[in-house]
Amino acid sequence: MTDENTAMDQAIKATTIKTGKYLTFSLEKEEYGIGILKVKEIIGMMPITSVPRTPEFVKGVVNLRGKVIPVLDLRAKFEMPSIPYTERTCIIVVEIDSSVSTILIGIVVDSVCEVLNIREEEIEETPKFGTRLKHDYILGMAKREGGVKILLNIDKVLSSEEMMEIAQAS
Amino acid sequence: MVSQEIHSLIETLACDFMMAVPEEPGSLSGLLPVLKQLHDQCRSLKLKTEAKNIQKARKMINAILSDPCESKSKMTALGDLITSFSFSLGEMEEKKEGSDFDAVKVRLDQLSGLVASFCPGEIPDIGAILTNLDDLLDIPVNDDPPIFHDVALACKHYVEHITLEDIYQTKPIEEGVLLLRSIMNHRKKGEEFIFDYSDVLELLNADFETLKTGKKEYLDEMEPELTPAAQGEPEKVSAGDMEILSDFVSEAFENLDTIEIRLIDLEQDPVNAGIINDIFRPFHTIKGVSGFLSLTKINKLAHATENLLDGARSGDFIINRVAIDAVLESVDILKMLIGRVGKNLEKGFRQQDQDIDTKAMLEKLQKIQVSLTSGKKEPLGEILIRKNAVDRESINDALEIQRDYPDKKLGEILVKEKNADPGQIASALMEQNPVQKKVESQVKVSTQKLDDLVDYAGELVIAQAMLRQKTSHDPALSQSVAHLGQIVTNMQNIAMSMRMIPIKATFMKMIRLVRDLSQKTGKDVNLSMTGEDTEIDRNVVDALYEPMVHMVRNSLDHGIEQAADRKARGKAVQGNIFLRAYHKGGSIIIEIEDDGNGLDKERILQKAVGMGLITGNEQMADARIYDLILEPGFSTAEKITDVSGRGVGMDVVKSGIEKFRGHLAIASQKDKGTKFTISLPLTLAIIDGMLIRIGTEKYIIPTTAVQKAFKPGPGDYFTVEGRGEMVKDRGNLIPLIRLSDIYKQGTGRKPIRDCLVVVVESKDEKRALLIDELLGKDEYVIKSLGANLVNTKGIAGGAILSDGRVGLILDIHGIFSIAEEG
Repeated sequence: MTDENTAMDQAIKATTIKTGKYLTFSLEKEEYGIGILKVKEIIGMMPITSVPRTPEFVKGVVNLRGKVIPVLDLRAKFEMPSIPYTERTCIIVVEIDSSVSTILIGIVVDSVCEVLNIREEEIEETPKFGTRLKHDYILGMAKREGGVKILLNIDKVLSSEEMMEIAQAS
Repeated sequence: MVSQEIHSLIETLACDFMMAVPEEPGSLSGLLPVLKQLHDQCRSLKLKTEAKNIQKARKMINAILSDPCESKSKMTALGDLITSFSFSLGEMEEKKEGSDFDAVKVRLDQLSGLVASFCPGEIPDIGAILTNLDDLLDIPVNDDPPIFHDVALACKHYVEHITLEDIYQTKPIEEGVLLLRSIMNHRKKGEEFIFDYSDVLELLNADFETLKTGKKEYLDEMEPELTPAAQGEPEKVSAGDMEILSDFVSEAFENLDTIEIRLIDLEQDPVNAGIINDIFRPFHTIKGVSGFLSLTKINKLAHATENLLDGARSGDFIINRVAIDAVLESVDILKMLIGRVGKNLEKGFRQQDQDIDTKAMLEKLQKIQVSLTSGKKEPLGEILIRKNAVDRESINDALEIQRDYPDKKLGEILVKEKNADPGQIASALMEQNPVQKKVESQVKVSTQKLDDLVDYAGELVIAQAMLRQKTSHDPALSQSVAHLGQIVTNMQNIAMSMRMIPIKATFMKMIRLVRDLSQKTGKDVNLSMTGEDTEIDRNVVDALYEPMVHMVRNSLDHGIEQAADRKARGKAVQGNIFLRAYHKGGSIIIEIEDDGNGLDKERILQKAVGMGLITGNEQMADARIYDLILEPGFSTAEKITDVSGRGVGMDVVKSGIEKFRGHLAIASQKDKGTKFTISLPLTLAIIDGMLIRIGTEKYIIPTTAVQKAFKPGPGDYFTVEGRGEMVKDRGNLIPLIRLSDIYKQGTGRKPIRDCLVVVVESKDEKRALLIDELLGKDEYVIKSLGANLVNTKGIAGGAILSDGRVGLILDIHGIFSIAEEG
């Protein structure tokens, strides 16, 4: 019982405290981070079957070892100009908690950088940008020597209203 | 064995009394001779009080017989009297026999049962334990030195404390009972009991003050319904309990389903020990686990039912229809209770079941157990008479002959005397001594793992195909690859077949339905099934259940006539419903047929005109007319019963079947019967599809939707106002849909002569799809697009193509509606 409780406590801590390992990747000239526990795997670019009548940022679906998973373009999602894919372009497969079960989604990023250990004190609250920029999916900003990394709550990025709209648009 | 005689007399008395009807006091006269015998027995045994009571009962019966007014209240009094002396006689008998160790053993067995199932706060349980201990103390056993007595006394002392001080520790008594057992075993063998038992006594005489403080902690772990103070406030379930409880719920439901099925088997064959065992075991499991999880009500009910079955199992009596009804009823209540547990579990609370009453059921079960008198294997003669194979007279003749030649078998005699043919005897014998059916051992695997296996098998096929391409230049290597290919294909087939389960379970549920309904409607209906072993995708099985229930209900309620009508039509009184399942082509066919009324074409047409479905002037084929009953709100039933007839349903059945790419056909003959034929794809996981290309993307069209594909000639293409496009196919004009427009594929519009036209149909609508190229036809494993893409209109799903890429499967109906929206 006590073991269970401590395990539970740790799990709760892990979600509330932002300290931990992050996988960072680049988009345009910015660097972003996702909690490493969310990342299932990183795959190179592969042929994507586009799905008609879906929002711009839904690139389509790919075959991940026999499973069909949707792929989103994070550039399109963050309304950045799109660039042709290079050999550095990657698909990060993340596990998203939905109300029913966990689902796999691939996100296309410019390139994957590194895995960083980020401590709580390095993380700063997200500044307010006013209404211009929605930032409820930003966990915080990590100050590192190389610059600022934007830490994403990937669950929120991909299950926010736009994601819901995919279903409605169709 | 005088006491045994008394015992059987009491039993006859109880039975006869139960059979007696208050309105007919005359039926009581049968009791008099029994009472007389009993009286004599008691007198000879010098049981004065009992003899006096019996005499009193006889006088009462005489009084009722001579003066029938107010017989009801007198009957009740008589009943009380009979019960009282039966009870005291029974007690006496037990005590008489109990002078040996067996009685002690019986008491000890009862006691350990009581202690094991003891729930704190249950005063009646404590009472039972105390009586039991008292009895133990009273039984004169050769007890010297009086260890047995001492220990039993200590136990009693402890139990008394339980009631007084609210202590929730049963361990000491359990130890005590164990000790008592071993003492008894030693005594029985005549050995001295020389072991040190002081620790147990210490436990039993423990400091009650410390126990009291310990009680508080224990209380905190208790369920709310057991501690009156916390009642009404549902307790949160911890994560660990949650898992155990949810496992229990799913397992129990499965168990109850098996029980139901086997119960119906048992009804056909009430003496089959194998079947009784099959029913007994799941009850036992439910009882055990629910006890462990402190689900008191479930535990008690399962226990009572188990007891009843145990009697049947050990051959004390033969299960009859009443008992099966009761067990079925108990299954229903258990389902309700367990369902409640599951529901509350979702919310994270412990069960709340105060409103579900199990008491009546418990009493009923007990009553049935008492009333079922001792019996043995059903005699062969009885079976034959029941099956109308021979009449009673010839059986009696045969028995007469058997008396003279005792080594001859009854069956042999009957055949020799030409009173029955060997086949009938054989089948009766089979019924009497049934052969246990062989059951293959099975493993439970989560469907997730199965799906993964199918996925990987599919990938393996693709990888193997790629390998073959690359090695085609090397003969030796390609031979090995071909071998590999064979293995891979086999493996994929097996992986696919694992999703298949026999349709038997669904059919069996129909037996129960027919049984219940025929009782409710008062129609005698026989359900016969063929092809229960036909395998079908498990998802399809789930989808089939509801439509089947509906159609069987309809057949029974509207189809099968009442017995009198059937006689008038020259049919057998017993109605028939047939369930058949078989494979045909790539589909599974399920037929539901009855030999009842049949559909009344005139009535259907009238009704359809009344509802405005048709004008009444059309020339309609029979099948079209019958299809009208599949329209929403259509019902020709004159009266609405609680079984069916509200007109909601057949359209739901139809759409339910169509959702799974199935088809429903109706055939009927007036006064002869109706046949519903459902055809469903073997599996929902695989689809037959045509691979097409539009622009750069490849898509799959389900073959079932495709009518034909052709290259339009110069004169086949028309437009309306320059926009609405149409093609001509054998004189029919079909609206044209450009898939490249809908899917924003390709650059600009191609001239029509460079394209192909595929005519597709969905829900009786035809459209022509314009595509670039037809690439081939194959079977595809359907995959969900995952996440939020599931509901994308116009796309039914994805499939892995032979090059490893994902191809999208078109949803024809969705495309139609997109095209309509423009």
